[in-house]
Order: sequence, then structure tokens, then C-alpha cells
Amino acid sequence: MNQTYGIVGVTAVILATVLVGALGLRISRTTSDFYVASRTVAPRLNACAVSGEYLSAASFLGVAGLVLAQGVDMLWFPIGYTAGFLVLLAFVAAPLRRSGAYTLPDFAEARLESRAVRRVAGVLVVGIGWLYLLPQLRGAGLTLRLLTGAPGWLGGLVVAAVVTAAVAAGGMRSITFVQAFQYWLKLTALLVPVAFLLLAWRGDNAPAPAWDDRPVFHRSTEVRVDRPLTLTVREPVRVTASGTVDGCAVHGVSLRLGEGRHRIGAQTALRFPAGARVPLPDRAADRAVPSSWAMPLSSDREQHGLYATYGLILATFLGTMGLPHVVVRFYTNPDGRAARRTTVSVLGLLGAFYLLIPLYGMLGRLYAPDLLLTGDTDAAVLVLPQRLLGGVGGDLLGALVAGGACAAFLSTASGLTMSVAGVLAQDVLPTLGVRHFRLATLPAIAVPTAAAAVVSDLPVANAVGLAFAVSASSFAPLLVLGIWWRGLTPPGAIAGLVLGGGSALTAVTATIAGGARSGWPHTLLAWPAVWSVPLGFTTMVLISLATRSRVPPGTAATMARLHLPEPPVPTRPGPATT
Amino acid sequence: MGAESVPRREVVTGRPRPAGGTTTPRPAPSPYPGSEVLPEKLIRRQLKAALITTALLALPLGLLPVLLRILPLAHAAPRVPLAVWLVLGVAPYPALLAIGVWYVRRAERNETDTAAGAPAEHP
Repeated sequence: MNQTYGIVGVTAVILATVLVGALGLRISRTTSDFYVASRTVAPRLNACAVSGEYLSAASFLGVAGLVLAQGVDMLWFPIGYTAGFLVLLAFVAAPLRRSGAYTLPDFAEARLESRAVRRVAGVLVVGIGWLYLLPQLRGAGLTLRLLTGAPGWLGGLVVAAVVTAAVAAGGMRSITFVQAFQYWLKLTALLVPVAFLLLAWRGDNAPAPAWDDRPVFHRSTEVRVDRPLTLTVREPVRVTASGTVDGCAVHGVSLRLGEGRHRIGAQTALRFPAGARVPLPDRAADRAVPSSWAMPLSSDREQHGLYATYGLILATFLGTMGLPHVVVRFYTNPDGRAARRTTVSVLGLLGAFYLLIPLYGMLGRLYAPDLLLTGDTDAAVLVLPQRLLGGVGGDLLGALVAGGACAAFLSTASGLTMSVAGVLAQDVLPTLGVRHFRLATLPAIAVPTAAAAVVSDLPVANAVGLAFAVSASSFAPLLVLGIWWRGLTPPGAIAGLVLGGGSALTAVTATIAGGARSGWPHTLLAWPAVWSVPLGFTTMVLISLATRSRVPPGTAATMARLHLPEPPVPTRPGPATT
Repeated sequence: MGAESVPRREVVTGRPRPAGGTTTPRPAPSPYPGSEVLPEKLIRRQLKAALITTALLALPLGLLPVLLRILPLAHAAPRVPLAVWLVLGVAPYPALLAIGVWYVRRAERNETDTAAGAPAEHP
């Protein structure tokens, strides 16, 4: 990829983000402005902002990469990401807005009148936020590594710095504009290139990709290997190699890779002929290559594929409502009805975006199967324009896609940092007002940045799935039962949050740390939602029933406030677009 | 940077906050006199709408993984039929949007009925 164009694309997006954030600083005066944009964001603008914030690196890069690697089953990710908003709409949107809660801990305290529940919820928000930030920063590292050759951790650091500056400066009002802008940027960055890519694909006689175990190089392809890796070759293949192969230095010679394992040194280029099978990295021999991570659903696919699919469905359908950065945006709606209308628009906006993703996955399978070899499948969207089109056109479209990817991790990372910092400032550190919020921004992003540098090699879409699982097993029960059931008590809520969320968090941590690598233990830990969501709900209901005397005294009044429409406001503050 | 270093005119548009500094929401004044009885019915109707929405979502999508596994066409590797791509890649999104629009209409009608004091049992 031509580096200059890509760097220009990314720099433009970063500059635009800081600029719009700085404009927000000038109009962001009060605490209310800072936290919730004074609750005057119109549904359409807010829907663009919600979508812009929600479409993360996992959606922009990750899903196409997973489709490339594993085929059509991976489309359950975007279905779940979207359907989660429908569940949120039906059970949570309007009542949550009417509760007047700004964060999930606020909701917990308002509904259950208990500081203890608030604290537990606060810990979970920080945990989910950090878990979700991790893949964003990794996506940032990947994008910047491809564009500039910089090491992965540097990209994460750059994004962390930009996000800290933007969040600390402008707060919520400026972020609303930034994120609405970034939704359209992301859509454009996929829509325009895909038109050209499809034309080029048609010009290539519209080949159909094969989805069996081992894909083939559709064209003669040069693969550049950055890190040393071991390949397993199943069919002998003649390649042109420059670099180190099996310990011997070679320079542009044609050599035959026989059946078996081959060690490829760092900085080696291999040119495979058209029609050759893609040799896959040897997982057992090479720790640098993601093992179970690269195959989330298909490891043990024959036995556990269905279980994993339902785990994914449950986690994403119920997890969306408990994502801290999504909830915050609902409070910026003027009232409950606007919150509902916002959510419906979000369904449309997300659907439009996700329609494009399978095309990238399919084209990636055809024209970039070497990413399977290097393990960088998340890069499929980024490399396709250059692969398929080439020339200046390919470079320009590549820059556009890179800018869109940059917008993806910037917007989600700033939203998450915002909410984690909000919880840290309110519940963990002593309160000092807006200035203190700015201080809290630092730990909010520093921790996941450090973690992202340590935990490398995890596909972004999959890591995001883990955050969804924790959210679905803790906050989904709290919100659904809290809004629809009078019998919820503080002890019940705490027990459910701790047991449901805690067990999911433990399973997820074990998976990231590489606890169980295969078989049922791995599947159960990697897709915890199937058992942890029922666990969270059941615990909350049973403990609440056992502690019936502890039902908060204000429950009836709170429930009435959650469900009754707001009284009409005599003077509405203008057309509400600022 | 920020407000404290800028000695210019303060424009206060937000409501003053309690000294505690938390954003714990204040209970809003009850919009309807005697609202202790009203929400009961409204909550039940809204819950019904939410549950119908969930059923519309969960039945087709929940059965789909099993169907795709049972039906032979998903196993036709290396070629995945176009129908599978359309079912998983295209069809869900308009359906989700349509269900969402239906739910919002229904929920708003429930609220209007309650506000108008017309407790129609079934819409």
C-alpha cells in the first residue's frame, strides 16, 4: 500500500476529530453541556451519533476479516450487533431515558436506592469498557502498522492520545458532532470503494470464492512476512522467495516448498503462483500466531458450532443494552419518545452499513487469502483497494478506507473513554467537578492501552464479543428486571451482577489468558453467554424473592416515572439541533 | 485548559446541582394525579408490545442456526449458495427495521391512550 496516501487519510480524520472537538469546547460551558449536551440532541442527529459511536473497529475491520477466514457463519456478528438495538428499543430505551440516569450506576442507584448496587455496577462498567477498548486500540495498532510500518503498540498510543485530548477538551456536546460525522465517514469509506471493487471483480469475470478448509490464491500473489512464522504446506508448491526460508538466505530465486513444515524468517517475501493452495500457519509450532483466536467458531466446529452460534446470538442481542457508551447517548435525548425514535433510526443506519460487510469478506477471500497465512485477517478491508484496483485509484480508495477505519476506532474509543472516565470520576475518585473528569480520562484509557500492548493477537470482532457477553450477563438482567419487575431488591441485584457478570468476566479473562485451548472447556469459556445470562437472571430473581422485605420503598413511584410519558413541555428549546 | 482558566462571562443554562456532586436523578413531579393506579395497565401493555417484538425477533433468527445446520444447502462447501448469503447478510436488516417501526408505533399509541384516559383493553 502506498504509505503517503494512507497517512494523509488517517491524519485528515484525526485533524477533523480534534477540530470538531475544539469547536465543541467553545460552546461547552456548563457541567450539563459537558456530560449530556444539555439533553437537546434531536433524534436523527443522535441516531447518527449513536451509530457512529457503535460502529467500532470490530464492525469496520473485524467482521470482514472473520468472513474471509471462516465464511458465512460469521455474519451472525453484525446481525447480533444490530438486533441488540431492537431488544434495547423494546425493553430499555424510553424507560431508561425517563429514569434520568446518565450512567448505568446512576440507573442502579435511582431504581434500587442503594449505594452498594451503584458501586458494583460501577466496577462492571469499568470492566466492560476496558474490555471493549482493548480491541479498538488493537485495530488502531494494526491500521497504523499497515500504513506506516510502525509497531502495533505505537498506533494504540497515538489513538489513546488523540482520544484523551478530544474527550478531556470538549465532553459530550462536541462528541455528538464528531460521532455523527464519523458515521457518514465510515459509510462512505466502505460504500465508495466497494462500488469500484465490484466493478473490478466483474471485469475479472466474477469468480466465486471457495469456502472449504484451504483457500487458493486466485491470482499470483506476493506475501510479505513481517514476523518469523512456520507454515504447513500440504501440496508442494513452487514459489519465488526473497529473505530467509528454512534457515537459508535466498534472493529472488524460484524454489520448491515440499510437503511439510517450513520456517519463514522475518522480512521475507514469497510469491505464490495462481491456483496454489494457501499454506496455513502452523499453530502448534508458533506461539506468535493466534491459536484459537483466529478460529472462534470453527475450532471444534463440528461439535460445538451450534453452541457457539447461540452463545454469540445471546451475548449480542442482550449485551448491547448494557454497553456503557451506548447508554450514555440515550440520556442526551430530550425525552423517552425521542429515545425510541433515535433507536429505530439506529436500526436503519446500522443495517445500511452492515449490508456492505459480506462483500468485503467475499472479495477478501478471493483476492487476499494470504492474510490467512500472516494472521492479519482484520486487514482485509484495508488491503483490498490496492490489491484489486492498484495504481493511484487504488491508493486513493485505500486512503479513504484507512480514514474510515481510523474514524471507527476513534469514535468508539472516545465514547468508551468518556463513559469509563465518567464512572471513575463519580464513583471511584473524590468529586471535584469537570476538572476532575478530565483527570479521570487518563486512567480510563491508560489501562487498556497498556493491556493492548501486552495482549496482542486477538481478532477484534471476537474480543468485542467477550465484552458483549459480560454486559449481557450483568446489565441486561439489571435493566430488564429493574424496568419491568417491581420485586427487584438491592441484594438480588448485587447477587445477579456479581454472579452473572463476575462469572462471565472470569470466563472471558481465562479465555484471553489462554486457559483452555480446545474441546468443551474452551468452548464454554469462550462463549459464556449461554450459561452466564440465565445464571444472572435466575440469581437476581431468586435472591430478590428471598429478600422480599428489602424492596425499595420508592419502587412504585420510580416505576411510574419510568413508564409514564413526560408531561408536555410548555416551551421547547428550539428545533434542538445544537 | 477549560472553564476555570477562562475568566469570561458564564452562561449558566444547566440547572444547579446538589452539593454532593453526583448526578443522582431527582424524582420528577408526578405528571398525572393519581398515577399510582395508571401505570399498572400501561406497563402491562408496554410489556406485551416488548414481548411480541422479542418473539418476532427471536423466532426466525433463533431457529435459523438449526435450520441452516439441518438443511443440506449450507454444507455444500466449497460453494456456499447465494441464498444463505442473502438470508444471513441482507434479509435480517430490513426485517429488524420493520419490527422496530412497528414497536415504536404500538408503544406510542399505548402512551397516547393512557394520557387520554382511554384505557382500551386491546388496540
